Amino acid sequence: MRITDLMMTNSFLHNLTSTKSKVNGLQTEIALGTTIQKPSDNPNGTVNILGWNNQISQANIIMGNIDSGNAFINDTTSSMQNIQDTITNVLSKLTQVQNAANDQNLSNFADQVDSSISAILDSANAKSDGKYIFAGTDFSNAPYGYTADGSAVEVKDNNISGVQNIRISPTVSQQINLTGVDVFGTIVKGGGNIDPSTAVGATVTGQTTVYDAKGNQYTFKTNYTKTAADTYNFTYDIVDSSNVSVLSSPPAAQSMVFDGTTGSLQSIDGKAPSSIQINVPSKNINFSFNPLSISEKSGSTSLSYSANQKTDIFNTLINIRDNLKAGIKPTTDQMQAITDFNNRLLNNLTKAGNITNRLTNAKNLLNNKTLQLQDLVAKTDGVDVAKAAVDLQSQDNLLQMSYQIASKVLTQSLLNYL
Amino acid sequence: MGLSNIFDIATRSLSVYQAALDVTAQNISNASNPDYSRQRVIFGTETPQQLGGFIWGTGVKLEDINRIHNALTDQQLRDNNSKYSSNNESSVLLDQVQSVLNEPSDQGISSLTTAFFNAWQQLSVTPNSVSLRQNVIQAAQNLSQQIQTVKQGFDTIQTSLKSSISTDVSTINNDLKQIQSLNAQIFNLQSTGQTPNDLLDQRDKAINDLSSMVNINVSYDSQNVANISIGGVFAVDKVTATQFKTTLQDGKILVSTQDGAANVNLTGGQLYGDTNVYNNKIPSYQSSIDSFVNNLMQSVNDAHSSGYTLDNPPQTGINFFSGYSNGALKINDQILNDPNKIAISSDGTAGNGDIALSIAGLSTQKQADGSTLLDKYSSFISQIGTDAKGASNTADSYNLVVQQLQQQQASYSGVSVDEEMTNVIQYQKSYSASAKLITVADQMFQTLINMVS
Repeated sequence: MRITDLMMTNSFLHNLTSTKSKVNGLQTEIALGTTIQKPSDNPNGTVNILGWNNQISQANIIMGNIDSGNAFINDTTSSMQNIQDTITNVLSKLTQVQNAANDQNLSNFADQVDSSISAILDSANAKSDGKYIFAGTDFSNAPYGYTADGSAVEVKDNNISGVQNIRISPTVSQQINLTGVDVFGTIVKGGGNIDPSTAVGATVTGQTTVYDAKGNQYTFKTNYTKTAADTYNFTYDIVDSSNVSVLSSPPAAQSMVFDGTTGSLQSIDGKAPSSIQINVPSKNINFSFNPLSISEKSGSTSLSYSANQKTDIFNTLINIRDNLKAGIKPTTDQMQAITDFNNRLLNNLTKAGNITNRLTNAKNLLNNKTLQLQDLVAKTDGVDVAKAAVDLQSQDNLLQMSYQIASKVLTQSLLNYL
Repeated sequence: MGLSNIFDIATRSLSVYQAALDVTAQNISNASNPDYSRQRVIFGTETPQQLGGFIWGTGVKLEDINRIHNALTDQQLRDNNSKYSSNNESSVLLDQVQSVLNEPSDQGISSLTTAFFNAWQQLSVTPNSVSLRQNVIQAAQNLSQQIQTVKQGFDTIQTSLKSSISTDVSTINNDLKQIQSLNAQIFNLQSTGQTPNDLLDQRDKAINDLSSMVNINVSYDSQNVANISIGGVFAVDKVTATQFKTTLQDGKILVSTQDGAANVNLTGGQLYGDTNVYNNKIPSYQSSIDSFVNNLMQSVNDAHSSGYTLDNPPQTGINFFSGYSNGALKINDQILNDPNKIAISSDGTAGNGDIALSIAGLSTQKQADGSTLLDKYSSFISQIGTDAKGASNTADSYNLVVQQLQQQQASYSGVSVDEEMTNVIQYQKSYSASAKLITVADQMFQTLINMVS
């Protein structure tokens, strides 16, 4: 093969450009610390890097959310512990009241119960990061307060059953609050079945006893009028012992839709089903009606209702206070109601502890996942600086050698020897 | 035979070797000219004379000056050069596209989309926080701005390409005029029996330049006239040089003859790289981004419009994004003016962030085809990466072939200074010997003259 001067020049330039290109690439990698500067450097790697970085970013946000959730549940726990301390103190005082030696001091005990009511009320209206802890999802007003005449404590037009959820993983949510209903409220829980073969226009009924703050009995009547397949209009009424309604006006019908396949309650008025708060301020009646366990299943219709307590802690204590002032000692039922509330509080503290554990575990999982993802990113996109430095040195040596050879060879021709 | 015959032979020899040295000088002076084909002197013996029953030689003559040239290598070089140019141009342009997208980085659409969903995630924990609502708006604005920046970047590349394509076509038109002119000159000179080596070199260079611009088909007729077609359309011969123009049709740039009678079917060269990126690649990439943004907007709006605002009374049915067109993703003005209009409560209470959770969940929610919004965007980025890498690798590959062919061409047609210097020595010696022969003949004449006087 003829070797011409142009060939040697072209060959030298080509090799020199190739070596310089490698040197430039290595220098860029070392300077930036990444092997992927643009998608074409590694298309598959780029897709992975984008995905992993997004997951890391998302995990960091979720971990921040978990921290917020933890702070909220810690404040919730703290409030409930304060209430429990107060309740324990009240129970101790009321036990002392049973002693005949204290019969002369019932008024003092009434004052102490009154002060306990205020302490519990304060805790029930406590805030965390500007949010009322037991107000569900309605932070507009303090959830609990005295009625206008000061005779009872009532829920202040809040939806205290609202659930606050946060995401603890990209796909899993966790409730971080204990609602006012969970902690203080009287919950009438509905259960049983409605026969799906009920004719459209027909009404299925159910009823149970509810109580006002003073222990007076009322009847809570429920009606489910079928309007279409799997759809019922829900209405209710509360009547006294004379079967006279205590509601100032009939409540609006709420449309309940059941799942045609599973029979479970699917929605109430087009929204996810939740407890219905029922307040009759004039009678000091307030409770939550939870219909979530009612289902539409084949078979004869049978509805059942049960309540977690007759009345709430505030009004039980108010009743005890007022009786003490009148020289009447608390009844066994009232003492039992306070003990029941205390037990319920303990259950809620356990729930709060479980939520805290769940959040802590979720954060640990996310931490581990983040570390693994960061490791993957480093392996895919990270530069092995030592290797890159050695490669750079090697390429630099080649470059120097090329220059040397060029200076020796390219300048030579027959002319040098003529 | 007389003594004068020696003078004739020597004189002719001097003339031939001087010419040979001229050719060598031309070769040496063009040693570094990549477009030059070396020339070789073809020597021949002069027609002998018959005298006295013998045939007497009459010396050397210059038969021809050959241009050393390999037509097959030239054709391969043009074909591969055309493919190299188109892929190299595509590679350069797709690198620009990648720069516009700014992936993978914190400022790319992927990261900003995640930041947007993360802002909703944060808001879901404290739904009534105005500052977190502002964060959502800010994250949406950042994302919207980057989407618009990408669109503007693509527009800028297309504007630049439009001008570049126009310049490419002007260059092609000039090359064609030059080739037509050279064809005519070569035809005229060859008709008179001359060998226009340097003009052939000039024409080869013009054809090579043309092949790097566009896919061409070259054929030579018996008069060595180059007939060239571009993308199936006649381009040039010795009489006519077709002139081409660009036209914009349905957003695509077409190259056609000036009269518009025929469109060029581009498959190679820089012009193909430019038009392919302008007509196909960028519109396809923009379409993918548009699809991603429309999906994002629709999904967010679907969830958002079912939520309730923080107003008193709470409002519902409000879209978060008011629209997307021409690269501009617009946030609802009501929300921009009042963050409380962000509707993330599913029941109208201020502490309910269910809708924010739903919107945050869109980042991982699989769609009908089993992929998430960001999966689709990542696939799109991967596609660009693969296109750019493919173009770059193909360009590198053709570059190697072109390099090898250029080396072959240089080996065959290039000038070797060593070889030429050897020829110089050889021709110089022959020239000196011829001169010496004249001296000897002269001395022989002197001897004869001295005998007479």
